[in-house]
Amino acid sequence: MTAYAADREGDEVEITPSNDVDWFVLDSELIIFQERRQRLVTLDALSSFVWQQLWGERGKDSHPRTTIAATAAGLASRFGYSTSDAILFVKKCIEQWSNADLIGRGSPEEVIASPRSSACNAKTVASVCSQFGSYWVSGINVYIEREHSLLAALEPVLGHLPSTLIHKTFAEVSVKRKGGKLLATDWSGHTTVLRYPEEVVAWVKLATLEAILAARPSLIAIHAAALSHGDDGVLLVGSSGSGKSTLAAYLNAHGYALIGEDVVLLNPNLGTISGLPFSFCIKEGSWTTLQRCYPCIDSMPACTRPDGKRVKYLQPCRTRRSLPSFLLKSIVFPQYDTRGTTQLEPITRVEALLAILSEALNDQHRLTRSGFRMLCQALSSGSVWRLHYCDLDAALRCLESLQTSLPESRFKPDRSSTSSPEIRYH
Amino acid sequence: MSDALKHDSQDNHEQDGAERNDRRDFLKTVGKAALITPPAMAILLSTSLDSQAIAGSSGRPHKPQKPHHKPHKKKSFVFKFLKHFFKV
Repeated sequence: MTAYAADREGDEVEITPSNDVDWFVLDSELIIFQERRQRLVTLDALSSFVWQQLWGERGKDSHPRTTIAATAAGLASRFGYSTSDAILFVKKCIEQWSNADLIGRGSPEEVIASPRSSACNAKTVASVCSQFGSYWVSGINVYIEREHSLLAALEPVLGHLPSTLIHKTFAEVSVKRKGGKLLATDWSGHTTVLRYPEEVVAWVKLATLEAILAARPSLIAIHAAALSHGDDGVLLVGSSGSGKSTLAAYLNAHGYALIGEDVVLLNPNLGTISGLPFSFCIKEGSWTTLQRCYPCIDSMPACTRPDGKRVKYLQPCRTRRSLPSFLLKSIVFPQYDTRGTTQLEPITRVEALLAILSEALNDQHRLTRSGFRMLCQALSSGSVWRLHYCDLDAALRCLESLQTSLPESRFKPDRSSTSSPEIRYH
Repeated sequence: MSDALKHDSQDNHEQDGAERNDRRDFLKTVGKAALITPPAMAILLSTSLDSQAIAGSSGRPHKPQKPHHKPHKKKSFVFKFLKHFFKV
């Protein structure tokens, strides 16, 4: 993990990647993460070769003592360059990386953590039991005043969650009605006035997430749904409207356990994924599609969210608390398209990493090296696909085929089905 | 091993050697350009982990970003005036 270069006096000077830097090879592409500058960097093929020759793989001290001359000799012999050209190139690399603060001499200063304190005071709502309905979500108590309109709006979203009394709690959020106003109090004690129960639903979801992130600053929340089938995990990642909730609800009705809907939490310290198992929020366009596996959807009341979208909440049939991230077998970016065909299209892991990070969130508003490493490891442990689907049955079969551990080259089109449109595997 | 097989394997070795030499010749000439070209580094993403995507997806209407705080001109004028007045 250490490289030595001769300085002007001819002494060997230790050069190491900066302490805030970590790197990972995804699909043969070297990705370097710089924590202090919060950016991901990639190098061209030759520079990547030089970097890996000098410092190998982070965490594996495979190159305990490498000199720049030795690296240049490797470069020269492998690619047929003259030694002087190779040395010049390696020196240029070192200069560039040094200017970009990717590397330094000796041990650079430690990364200073954000000063924001995130300690949560797990306060207790006084005399809650009779006056409030309580729900436990990943260590957060949600107290809702037992009032008809509030419970009518929140019970479909939270009703399947366990009561707070038997679980360990880090913080709490609460909503009560006072003098005709809805007062919502978050984990820090800050109170917001809300106008109507549907607004409370949106508030509860976000306030719960904020409380979880504040209590555990290392967590990274990603915009995705996570499910497990046996011991295999599936991550459905996508922007709002991509059809991930509809697909997740369908998978849940077909034996997949829900880990998190809309919010998935990555814990770099434990190497696990968990989530917020709120009910599936299904928009108007998918009600008919899901009718077959959720016959009750017709009789359910529709809500109009604060953003104007009409939705129905479907409670999950089965849930699971968490999953080790190495069991994540497939990472899928669904894209619902009524006019297209259902097909899986491979995408690169780097593309997936960037897409996940662009819709991620944490308390400190900064990615840590451990978070970066966990994401990369999760991506490299599973296969990464974009799933264009117009039919839920076909999409389920596509995902099931991914779970069967067949090498990608052996995937063949499923011709047995006549009810579904064409399924293509690449 | 029959003579025919020996002959085949010798041919294969010669072919491999020729290919390897071709590759080396190619790299020596064309690959040199890669060394002459300075090393390239590209920024893929600047992360901030403060995406509003989850908030948007949970139903909260999009809030326009607040402009950076600037002191109100009138207020700052009043403060300056009072400061000046009390100094005097």
